[in-house]
Amino acid sequence: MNRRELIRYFLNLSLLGTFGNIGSSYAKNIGKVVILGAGWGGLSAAKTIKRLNPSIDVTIIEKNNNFKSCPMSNWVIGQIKFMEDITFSYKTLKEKYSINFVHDEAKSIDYNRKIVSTNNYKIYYDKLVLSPGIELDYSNIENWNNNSSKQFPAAWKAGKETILLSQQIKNIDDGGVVGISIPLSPYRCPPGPYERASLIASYLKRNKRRTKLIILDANEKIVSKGKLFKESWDKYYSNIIEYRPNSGVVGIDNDNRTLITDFDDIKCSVANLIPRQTSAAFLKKNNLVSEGQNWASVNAFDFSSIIEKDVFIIGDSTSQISVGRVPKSGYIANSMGKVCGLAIVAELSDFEKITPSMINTCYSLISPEEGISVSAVYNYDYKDKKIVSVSSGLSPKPSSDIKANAWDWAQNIWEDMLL
Amino acid sequence: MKVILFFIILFSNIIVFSVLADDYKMNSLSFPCLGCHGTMNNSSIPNISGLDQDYIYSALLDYKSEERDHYIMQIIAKGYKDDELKIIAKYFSLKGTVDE
Repeated sequence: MNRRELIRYFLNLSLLGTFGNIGSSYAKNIGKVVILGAGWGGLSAAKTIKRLNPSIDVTIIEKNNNFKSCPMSNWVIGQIKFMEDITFSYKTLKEKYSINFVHDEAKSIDYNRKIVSTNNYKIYYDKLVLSPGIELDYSNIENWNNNSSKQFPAAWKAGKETILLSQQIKNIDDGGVVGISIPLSPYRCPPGPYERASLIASYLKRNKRRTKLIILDANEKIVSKGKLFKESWDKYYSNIIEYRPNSGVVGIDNDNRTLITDFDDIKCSVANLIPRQTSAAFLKKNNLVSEGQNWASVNAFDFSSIIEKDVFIIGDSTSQISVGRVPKSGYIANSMGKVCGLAIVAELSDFEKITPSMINTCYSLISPEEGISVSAVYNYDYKDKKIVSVSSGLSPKPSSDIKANAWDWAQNIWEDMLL
Repeated sequence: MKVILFFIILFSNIIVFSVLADDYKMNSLSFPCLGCHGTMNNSSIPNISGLDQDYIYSALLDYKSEERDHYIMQIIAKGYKDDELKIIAKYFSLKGTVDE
């Protein structure tokens, strides 16, 4: 580096401040970041990096052509919104932020040569962020086969199954049973199954008054916002919802749409089987999940992999044992993306990383009119090397204000990631 | 000339890195807030970009002490030290005032 370059280097650094892109057009490209998965974690990491330094080359590998939001997808199943309301284009990220998109499926990682291979491309990285989400695991469900998901949709990743379950609920013959089965925690979106049950019950109450809803929960009690859900069910749906704790589904009868537990066979008109989950299979295949573990371990300070250098893992795939007690929520994935994005910019710019700071807020509807919520602020415990909650709490009682906040929160966090 | 240049570079180096560290901390604390506080103006969650720093700071302190009422903001404000709330207030007062 000669003297002129050195001066320019410092000039660029000084411009690369709070609202990074002020000095961006002068800043030198200091590295290439590849992100796998354009969901809540991946998009948040991408935007954070571009906010801080737009000259960093960011490429996202994503097999889907548009963004379908998992949070708020229960509103589609509850007949409040349509799939189009929660589906968005990646256009602004491509055009305004110059983020490259490779719409293809990732196959493997060569850690020595720092190359990710997709079906059609080989892509070099300086830093690699993996935010691949969850794998649905049906291996403990007896009689499960490739065709079973039509009769027993999970609808636990926003997409085709969300629409399928929404249609099945809408068109259900009155007088039958809707079955919802909930796996043992940890799973994606802890309050999600209970919100879904509430919204389906509300639809049944208004439109199919002779239909019952049976919740088969593998857990011993409601996993999240238990008191608030329980009170709402007692108040609004006492004749509709039957909640059975410690009732994990162990098998199905494909011919009779029946959910099987250790105690009962429940014949359903609609059966929503939410299976247990693990980190995405891609992470296991590429040796980022330790032997005998279901989720990928990371350093909670910056979400770097404990196994491979220059590799970061964020979102629902991460192990709570390594991160600390954070829920597998969209907001948390968004926060992890920011911590990881900041850490990567620090590494590429040679300045010191800072203590991670995270927030979570999860809204749930208990009816199309009223919502509840849980919030927390997280800090980093240097002694335990984990993310810890420093303040947390629930909403006082269901209200229409919280319902309005829920939709506006979604609008804002979608904007934060996509616009 | 070379000696002067040397000191300019050395000095700018120190300033640059202290500025960067401050900005970096401000971003680290404030970015998570953007999950709720966006730029829509008809939202039930207010757009606080460009508001006065002292106003935001005193509002956050009032949430923290529960003198101001909103259950979520009370939970959130309690998660930060006063000097951190001041930094977050600074971020939002600056946000929107430069082209982002």
